[in-house]
Amino acid sequence: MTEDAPRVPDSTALASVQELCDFATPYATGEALDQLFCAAMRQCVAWHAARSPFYARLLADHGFVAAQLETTNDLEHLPFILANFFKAHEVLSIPPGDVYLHLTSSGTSGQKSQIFFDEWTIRGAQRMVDFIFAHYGWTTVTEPTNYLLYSYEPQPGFKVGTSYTDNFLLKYAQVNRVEYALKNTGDGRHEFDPFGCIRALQSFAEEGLPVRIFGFPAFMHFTLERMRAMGVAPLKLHPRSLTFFGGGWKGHQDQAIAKPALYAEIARMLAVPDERIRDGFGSVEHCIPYVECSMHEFHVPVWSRVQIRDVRTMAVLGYGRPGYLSFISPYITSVPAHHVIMGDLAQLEAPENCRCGLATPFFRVLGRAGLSRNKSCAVAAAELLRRPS
Amino acid sequence: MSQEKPHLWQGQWLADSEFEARLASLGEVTAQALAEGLPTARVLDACAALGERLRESSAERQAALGILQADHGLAPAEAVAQLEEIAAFLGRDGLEEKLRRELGSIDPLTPTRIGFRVDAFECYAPLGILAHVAPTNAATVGSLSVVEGLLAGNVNLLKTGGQDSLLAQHILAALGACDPSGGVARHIIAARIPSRDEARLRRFLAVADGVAVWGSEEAVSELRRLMTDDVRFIEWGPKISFAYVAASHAADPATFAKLADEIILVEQQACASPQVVYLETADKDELARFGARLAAALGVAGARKAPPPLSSAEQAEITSVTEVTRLESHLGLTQVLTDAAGSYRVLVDYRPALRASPLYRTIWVKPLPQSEIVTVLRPMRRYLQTAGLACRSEDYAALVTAFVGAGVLRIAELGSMLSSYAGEPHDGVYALPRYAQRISLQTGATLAGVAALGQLLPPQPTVPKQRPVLTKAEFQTAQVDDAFADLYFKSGGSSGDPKLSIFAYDDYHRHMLLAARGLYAAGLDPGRDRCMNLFFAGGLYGGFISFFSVLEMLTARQFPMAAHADTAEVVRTIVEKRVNVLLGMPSYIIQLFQRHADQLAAYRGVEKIFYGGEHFTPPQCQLFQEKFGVALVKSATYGSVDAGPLGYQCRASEGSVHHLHSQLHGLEILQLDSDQPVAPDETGRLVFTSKVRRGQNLDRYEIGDVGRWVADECACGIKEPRFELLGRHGDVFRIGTMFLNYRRFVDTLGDALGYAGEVQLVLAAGAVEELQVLVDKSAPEASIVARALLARDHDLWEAVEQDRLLRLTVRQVPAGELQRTPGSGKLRGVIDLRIKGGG
Repeated sequence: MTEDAPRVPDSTALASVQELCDFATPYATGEALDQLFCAAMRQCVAWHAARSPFYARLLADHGFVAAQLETTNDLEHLPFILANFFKAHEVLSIPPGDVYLHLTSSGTSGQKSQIFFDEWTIRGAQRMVDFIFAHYGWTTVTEPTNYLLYSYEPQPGFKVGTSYTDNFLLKYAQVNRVEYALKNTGDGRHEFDPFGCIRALQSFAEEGLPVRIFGFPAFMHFTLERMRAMGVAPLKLHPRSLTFFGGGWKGHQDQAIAKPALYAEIARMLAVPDERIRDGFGSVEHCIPYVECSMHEFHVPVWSRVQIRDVRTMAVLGYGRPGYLSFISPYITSVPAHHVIMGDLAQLEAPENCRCGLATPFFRVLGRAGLSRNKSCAVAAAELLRRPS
Repeated sequence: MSQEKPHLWQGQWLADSEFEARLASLGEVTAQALAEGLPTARVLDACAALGERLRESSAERQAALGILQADHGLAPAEAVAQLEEIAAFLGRDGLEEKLRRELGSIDPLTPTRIGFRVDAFECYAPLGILAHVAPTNAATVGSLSVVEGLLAGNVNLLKTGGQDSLLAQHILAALGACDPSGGVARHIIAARIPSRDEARLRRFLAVADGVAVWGSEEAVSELRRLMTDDVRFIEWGPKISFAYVAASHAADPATFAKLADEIILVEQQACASPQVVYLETADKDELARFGARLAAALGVAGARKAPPPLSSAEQAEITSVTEVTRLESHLGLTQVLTDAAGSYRVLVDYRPALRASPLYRTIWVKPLPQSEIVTVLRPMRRYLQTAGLACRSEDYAALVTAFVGAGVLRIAELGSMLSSYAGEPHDGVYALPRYAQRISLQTGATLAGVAALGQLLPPQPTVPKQRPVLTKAEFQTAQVDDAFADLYFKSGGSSGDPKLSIFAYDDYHRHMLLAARGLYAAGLDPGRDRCMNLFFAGGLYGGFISFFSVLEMLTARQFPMAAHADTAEVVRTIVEKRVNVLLGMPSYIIQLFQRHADQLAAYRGVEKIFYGGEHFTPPQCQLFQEKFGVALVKSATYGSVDAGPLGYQCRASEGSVHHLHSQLHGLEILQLDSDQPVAPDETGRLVFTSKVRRGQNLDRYEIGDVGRWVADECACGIKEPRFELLGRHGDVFRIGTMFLNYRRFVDTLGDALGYAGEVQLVLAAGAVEELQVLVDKSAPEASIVARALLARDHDLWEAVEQDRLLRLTVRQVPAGELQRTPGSGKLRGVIDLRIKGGG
């Protein structure tokens, strides 16, 4: 990396945030780290309270002050904000001039989240990806690698979050060739090109360089299905090939297959080893990367904490119980999304329950929280949201 | 029926593998059923029968209640209420009302003349094979939609969801079983197919001509993907409803009680349940206060009914919306009001935009001044359904105008948002026309005289009811429900005390329509004829009034003269106004022609006479033709006040041969002295069974006339059965060990002697029974009359001359001496002095 390391906007007020996010061992644990985490959270809370009138009022109405965050046990009392809130309201903790990037989420309902990032937040989050790739030994900068990207062929001004992510994923291994699966049709739209993907994979297999496949898992699945339907023989990609998915099955929920089935399909048709097939979980409202371990579980990295909350009472639940997935992390300075409740249902599990050996807990996503449509003939909110108004 | 056999295929239960095997024949099987046709009356009968079964303690009721409780999780009382809703929908009155309002007729599939001066027929026809893709977990929507499909004559394919119960299949199987002909069952296939099973769903729906589908736009577009573009989609999309409280009612305690009831009643699950309450205000504090009072009312009302258990997804939806609203309160945009237990949520939102609530006692409270109604609601136009209003009557019109302008489809009183009436449009349309197509026939003059195509087809045989013959006396004593007692007419009949016949307006209109068709078949030409209505009016008599209605329905030119005493004025009008058709009773008409013979003979403009009540004799008809130029003399209708029109003459009918109004009645002809059907040529008693009569039973009603079947086909082309009237049962009398018929005497005197006057028979007891024949002065001398009678009737000759069992006398008397019925003035044919009260 030739750029400067990312710096928090105020190195005094956010010193602990800097220190926490500089920590390069993604899945470390320990008392010291917990204390550092709380210190960073205290600074983060104070930062947003001072800069976002909405957040200040939220804290005041709850009678909460940053000093209350002494240990990680106090985190559950920190007032939270639902990701859905950001879909309807722009809340900034930085002057508009400091906005480095703003992203819209590629959600299925009509409303999109608008999240604003300053330079620190986005680059800090990207560096976490660097740390994780390094942890798994995937940083092979000098090794020419072919890429098949299941994402949108870029165009200037195109703001979809996942696309942005994928572009910078190319830096960990030298680019030999890049093939995009969702071709830009030239009039602002994209079209999935399965034939192009198959041809690319075939030529990659022949060329014999390691292959990296990133992006939406749905189109990977469609490609493999098309290969099977066309009778294309299974391919053998280089053994250091890597697949890393993200973005979920958005828009293709009806055709979603379970992960084990998809991974078996990949292993069979492309000969990628199972422990090099990984999924990633992330969202525009919370950019911390959650990457599957070798056993395909999402372990929580050192820079965040995950809590599960009861869908009726909002009480924090222990291991093994399903509820709202919520993330706490002081990495974000542009918007007070440091304690965000997602629209997903999940459950948290103890680290011992995963054989990969990582020391942090992991979470399993169970699906969306809530309904996209009512069972009765009364219209549901999500349906109304899809209407252009 | 069982979980192993979840598919209903034309009355049979099939397992998955069996269903799969049958799918290949779906096209053939449905085409056959469609070709068979499905008379609407049969569907109505089956529905009425099922409705009754579901209300009594039957196997069907028990099974349905079982499914509602076990699979739908309803409490016993709720299950009973749900079943009652289904039974109420199936009731005959409600379905007939629905047919009338939505398709214009309770016989919508029969091509019918659109007017009597136009040679065009119209009717509805089924769309064909109609598929219904039921909403998941809404228990009865799918099966009731199939009932609507059946009413329009369609073959119906119902798809229920993979997780749904078998309630729909069960109800439809029971419905099919309620039609003995099996036709209804053959028009139903109900299959359980999960939406994911695209291949099977595609095959199932491939034969459909139309698809009724519920659900979101997403669900609908997924279905469209599976089908070709030419299939008609009938979308019953998701809807949103709201309450509106005018400022005048913002402080009324009743308003809050009603709101709480609407919200709690079905936990807002109905499309007509309110998801938002709008208050007529722009003031935040006022809105907040209103919200607080509503919260209090919900607390009170909610305590009486426990909230239902929610799925985790439903609960998560509620919590998400509530928590976001709570966050927005820190922006000053909202207020969240809830109780400690979280049993309700009042979400006060100062922004007026309409939005959906996650239901289950979650209600938005928003501001909406009247002037902003259209602009605020406009973006949601496609989803708007019901507005529940609480306002003053003077504000009602303006508010309704605003809501309708915004796109609201239903406006109800607050407190009654979930009620509906038979035939009410649903989501802005009538369902039945959407499940049908409108057919037109241009016939030219080919079908002159025919009013409905059904007349040209052999009628459906009716199974006689198993009950004793109903006499006039019994019919008269039966009670009629006030709901069906609209019109009261003096009951007809030549003898006895006049009683009243009672009709619902619907029956009256139906009767008059059929009588109009009868008159049309008999030769009245509404395009050309100028008719004078000479029937009697007043004193509750129905004659003039009913023919007024008949001529009005025919859109025939009418001079409503009635049996006016000033016959000179009547004839003057006939001549001056070039009247060519007379309708009335023979006695009056005869008087008219006798008193003003010269004028009418000179005029020769009366072309047609349609008579009612008594009959004209052949000599009388001949006289009309020769002297006055009357070319056509036919009965206006054959019927009685009690039973309505029973039969009609056509252009080809002679004498007293009539076609049966088979749309209204079934006819049996029973032997004179037993209740067995007659032999083909045998004279017997006419017994009618009414097919359509509200609130009264006319099953096997003995009209008092005798007649016989006429088996050969009629030259006019109409295939409704024919019968010949042979007089009153009272015309038939027993004397001297024989049955004699009064009519026979009249006809004999007419044929043999050209006698056109009145005849009365008096029966007396004595050493030997005596038969007195009374004739008027126009008859020849008594002995000639007697000789003519004996010569023509061998039975009579035997009894009188040979066996000396009977004494025959003939007397000439003045017309005034003849006995008549008090009231109508009709001549009494037979006076039986042997029986008490016969004199």
